[in-house]
Amino acid sequence: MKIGSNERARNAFIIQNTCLTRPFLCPEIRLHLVTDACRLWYATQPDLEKIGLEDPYWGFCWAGGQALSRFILDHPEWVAGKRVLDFGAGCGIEAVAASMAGAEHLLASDIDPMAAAAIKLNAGANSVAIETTILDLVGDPLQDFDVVLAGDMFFDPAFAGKVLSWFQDLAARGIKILLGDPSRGNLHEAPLQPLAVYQAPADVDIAGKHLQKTTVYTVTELSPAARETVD
Amino acid sequence: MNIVVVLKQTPDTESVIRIAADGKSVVTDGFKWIINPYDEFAVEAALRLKQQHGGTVTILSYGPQRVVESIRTALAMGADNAVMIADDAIESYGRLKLAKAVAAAIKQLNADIVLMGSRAVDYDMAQRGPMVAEFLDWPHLPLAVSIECDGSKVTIQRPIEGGKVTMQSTLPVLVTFGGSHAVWNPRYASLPGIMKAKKKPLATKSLADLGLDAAEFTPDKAKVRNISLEMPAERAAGRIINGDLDTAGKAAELVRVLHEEAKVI
Repeated sequence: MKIGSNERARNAFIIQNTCLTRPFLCPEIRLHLVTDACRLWYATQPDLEKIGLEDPYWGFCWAGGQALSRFILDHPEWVAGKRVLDFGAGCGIEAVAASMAGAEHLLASDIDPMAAAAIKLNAGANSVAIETTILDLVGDPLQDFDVVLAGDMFFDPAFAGKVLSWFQDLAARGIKILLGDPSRGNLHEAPLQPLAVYQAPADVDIAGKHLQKTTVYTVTELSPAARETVD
Repeated sequence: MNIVVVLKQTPDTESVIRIAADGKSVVTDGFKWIINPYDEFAVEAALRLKQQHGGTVTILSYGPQRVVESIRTALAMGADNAVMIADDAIESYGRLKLAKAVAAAIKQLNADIVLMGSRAVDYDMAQRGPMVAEFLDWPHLPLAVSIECDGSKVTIQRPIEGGKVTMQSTLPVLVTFGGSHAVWNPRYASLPGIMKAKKKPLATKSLADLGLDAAEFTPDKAKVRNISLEMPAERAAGRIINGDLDTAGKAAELVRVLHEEAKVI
């Protein structure tokens, strides 16, 4: 049976196919995630095509997102009272963490409407308010934001380069950028300052049986001369 | 153990084949692309070797961007990382050149063992494995239907008429796989594997990255060319024995048709 195209159908699908789960690094947060207790966990590619489900990143809580959320919860001064964008939010854990840490306004962006639905449900599960958008914001000047969060977005080299270039522009205009990345190898040319290192669960490892080094960075502002060299 | 699996993307064998206007290639529009099944057996064998001995399984593939989908499928099965020789026209340079490029990529990967299908289900040439082994100057164990490794030696079995041959080689070695889905039963990836595969490393290499001279890799330098393709002759429609007859009557009519019309008995 295909997933319906309206919000109600998306919500119903997520609730039926996920379990409320506490992420390994952030047990104070509850998220609707796909676990081995869910039938969807065992779906094959033909099963996913049959139900029309595309790449449900929102159903998993990735290492970079968990580490970044832990950092925000432990260092609320980065987001408290600020206008915060959670970019490529997936399940929205960073947005939930930022809201718990006192962010004034939160927008979670993800181009997948299923992710937007999951974020709303996860906000509700944690009694926080999060707005969502499915617009592709890459390149947007983000004039109404003070902080951008991006957890585990840098697994594709081409996309990583595009997003990091945008982030450098934002950082040059004073917007604070926080990233979480489990050494996926695509950040080597970016002007980053490491802020904290965590041992986060390996991909889709709910219980944290296998841990991987995951670093939280901020994007530093480059001088014009240095930026010319990088460009 | 550092295991490399060479993977080719081929059309699904259920694809409808049409000959292109040039008379020597096929129209690929509308094809569903899959991992060459014999290469899929090699992926399964690699994952079993990794389960026994540890190490990493690297997928090595080649071709246009659509190949990434098949690479991700192999990563979802459990391979660790992948390298793709990104070149839209690599198949047009000839099989010898393709093998040279694959061998150059393998050299960069520091492999202990290289696995691949014995043939592909598109042109069924069965040349890639032996050619790559030659370029590597490695032994080649062909048509494996089972594989074992003790960490220094590899033992395979391959079928021959009415029996099996057991063959052995020391590492490094290149093994090509025969058999069938029933023999290898390659695993299906489920959602966690599929999603993990989205974030596994996939390095893209050009011919220049492999230390090869791109001027050597042009279609006009291919040593073997397709001259023409022909579709099989259309077969006459099947015939159904009259369903109004009882079983004995149908049998009698079938015997009459086979004897008098088909003249096969």
